[in-house]
Amino acid sequence: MSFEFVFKRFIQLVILMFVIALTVFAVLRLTPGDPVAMMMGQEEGVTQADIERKRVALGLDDPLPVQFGRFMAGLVTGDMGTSLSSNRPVRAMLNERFPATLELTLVALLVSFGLGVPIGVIAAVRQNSWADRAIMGVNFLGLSLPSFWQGIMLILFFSVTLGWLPSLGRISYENTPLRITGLMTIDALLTFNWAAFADALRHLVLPALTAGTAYSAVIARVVRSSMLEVLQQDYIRTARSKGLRYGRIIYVHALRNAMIPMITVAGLEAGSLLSGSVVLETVFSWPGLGRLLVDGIYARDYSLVQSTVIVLCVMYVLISFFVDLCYSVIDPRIRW
Amino acid sequence: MRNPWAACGLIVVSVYLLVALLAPLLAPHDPTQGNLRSRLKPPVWLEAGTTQNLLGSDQLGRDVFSQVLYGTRASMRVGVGVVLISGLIGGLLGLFAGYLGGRTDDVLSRAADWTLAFPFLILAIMLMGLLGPGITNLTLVLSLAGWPHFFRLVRSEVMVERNKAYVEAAQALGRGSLPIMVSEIARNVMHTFMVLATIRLGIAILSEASLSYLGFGVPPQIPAWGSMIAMGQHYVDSAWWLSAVPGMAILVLVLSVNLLGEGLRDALDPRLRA
Repeated sequence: MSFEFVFKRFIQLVILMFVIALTVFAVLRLTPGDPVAMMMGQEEGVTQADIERKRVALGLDDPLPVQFGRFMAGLVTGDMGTSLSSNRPVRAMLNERFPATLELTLVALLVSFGLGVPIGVIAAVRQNSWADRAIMGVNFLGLSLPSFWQGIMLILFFSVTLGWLPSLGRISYENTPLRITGLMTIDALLTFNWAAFADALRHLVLPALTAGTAYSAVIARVVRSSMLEVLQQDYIRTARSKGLRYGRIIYVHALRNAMIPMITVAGLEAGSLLSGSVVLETVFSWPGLGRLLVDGIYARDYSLVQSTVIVLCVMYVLISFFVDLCYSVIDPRIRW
Repeated sequence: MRNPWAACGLIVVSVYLLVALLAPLLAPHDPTQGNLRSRLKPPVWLEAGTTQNLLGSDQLGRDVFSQVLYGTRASMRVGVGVVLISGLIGGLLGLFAGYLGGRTDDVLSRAADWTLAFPFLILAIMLMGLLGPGITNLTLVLSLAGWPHFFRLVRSEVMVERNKAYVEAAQALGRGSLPIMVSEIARNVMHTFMVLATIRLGIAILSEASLSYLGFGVPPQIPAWGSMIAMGQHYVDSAWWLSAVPGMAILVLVLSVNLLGEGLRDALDPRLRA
C-alpha cells in the first residue's frame, strides 16, 4: 500500500465529506417550510414577533454563505449547537447514541461474514448438489425479504410466541453496566458483569440477525461464484496432487484468492448495512443514531437532524474508505 | 422462456399488475372505511374468523384483504415510476456518454460516481421527512438514487457497440450522431437495459416499503404495505396478521420480480451474472 494511494484516497474522502455537508445544508435550507414557525407554531400564544426573535437568536436570518460557514465551523470544532426539541447539546446526544449504532453494525458484520462465507464455500464445493440448491434458494429468498418486516416476524416468533428473546432496546434497565466505551457487551466484560453481558447479547441477537441476513446472502453469492472460479485453477489441482488435505486446500489456498471479489462487494454493500440499520433501529427500538434521526424528523428538530445525518454519512464514507484500503492490502496488484 | 421459475415470476408479477389496475373491482370493502363492530378480526381460517374479512381486519375494523389489494397500487406506481424515470435519465445520459466520449463522458461519469458514493437511503429518509410523505416526492427521491446504475450499464454497453461495423456503416452513410444513437445503438443495448430495469424494480419496491414503514413514504390516507406493517407492529402480540399479511405481499412480489430478472439475465445476458 503506497503512501500516494492512501493520500489520494484521503483527499477524495475529504472532498466527499464536504459535498455531503453542503448537500445536507442545502436540503435543510431549501426545502419549503420555516423550521422555527413549524416548531413553535403549535404552541399556545406564540406571535409572529416571537418567531422572528427565535430566528434571529438561531442565526437563521443571516445570509446563506454565512450560515454555511458557521455550520462547517461547528462541524469541525464539534460544536453542533443545541437540540431544538430537548434543549440539550446535540453533541452530547450523538455521543450517547453513537456506540449503540456502532455495536449493532459491528455485530451484524460478524454475523453476515460468519454465515455468508461458510455457506458460500459449502455451496461452491458441493456445486449442483441438493445442498447447493437449497442454500442458493434460501439465499435468493433472503435477498427478496424486506428486512424491517423480517425483524417484526422474528419478534413475533422468538419474543411473542416463544418468549425466548427480548424484542426492544439494548439491555434491561437493572442490568445496565457502568459506561466505559458505550458498547454494552464490552463494558459488561470490562466490569466482569456476566449478567449484563448475557443480557446485552440476548438483546443483540434479533437485530443483528435481521441486519446481517440480507448482507450474508450477498456475501454467500459472491463467495460461491468466485470459489467456483478459483477451484478450477491449475494450482488447486497441483495442491491436490501433492496430497494436501482437502480442507486445507479449500480454506487456505482457494478461499484466500476468492476473497478479493468478496471484499469489493463487501465494500459496496457495507454502506447499505448501515443504512438498513437506520430502519431496523426503529423496528427494535434500538437507541442508536437511526432512531435519533427518525425521532428528530418527527419532532422537526432541524439542528439534531442535520448533525445526525452528517455523522451517519461520515460513518458510511469511512467504511468504504477502509474497505478500499483492505482491498489494496489483500491484492497488491491494485493501484489507483 | 424455458426457465420455469422465471415463468412463475412473470405470471405472479402480471397478476400483481392486474390487481393494481382492478383493485376497486376486486376489493370486497372500501380499504379506508372501518367498521367498528368488526375490529381486529382474525383471518378466515382461524377460529373467530369470518368470510366478511378474509384476511382479518385491523383496529379500526378496516378489511386487511382490501387494504392489501389497494396497497399494490402504491407499490406499483412508485416502483414502476422510479424505474421509468431513473431508467430514462440514466439510459439517455449513458447513451450520450458512451457514444460521444471525451469531456461529456468525463463529467457524466464523475457525477454518477459521486451519486453512488452517497448514502442514499439516509439522505432519502431526511429528504422525505422534510418534504413530507407523497407519492410524487417519493418517486423523484428514489429516482435520484437510481439513475447512476442505468448510466453505468448503458455507457459500458454503448462503448462496445460504438465500434461495431453496423455503426460504422451508418456513419459512412452520412447519418447524424443522434439518429445513430437512438435508432441503431439504443435498440441493441435494450435487452441488457431490461434486465437491469427488472432488478431495480425489486429494489425500488423494497425502498418504498421501508420509507412508508417509517412514515416518510406514501401518505397515511393511501393504503400502502409499509405503513400497514408499521401499524400492525403495535398489535404484534394480539393480531399478528396485521403485520404478517402485507409483508407476505411484498415478499412474494419482490421474489417474483427477482426470479423474472434472474431468468431474463440468464436468457439475454449471462455477462451480468454477479
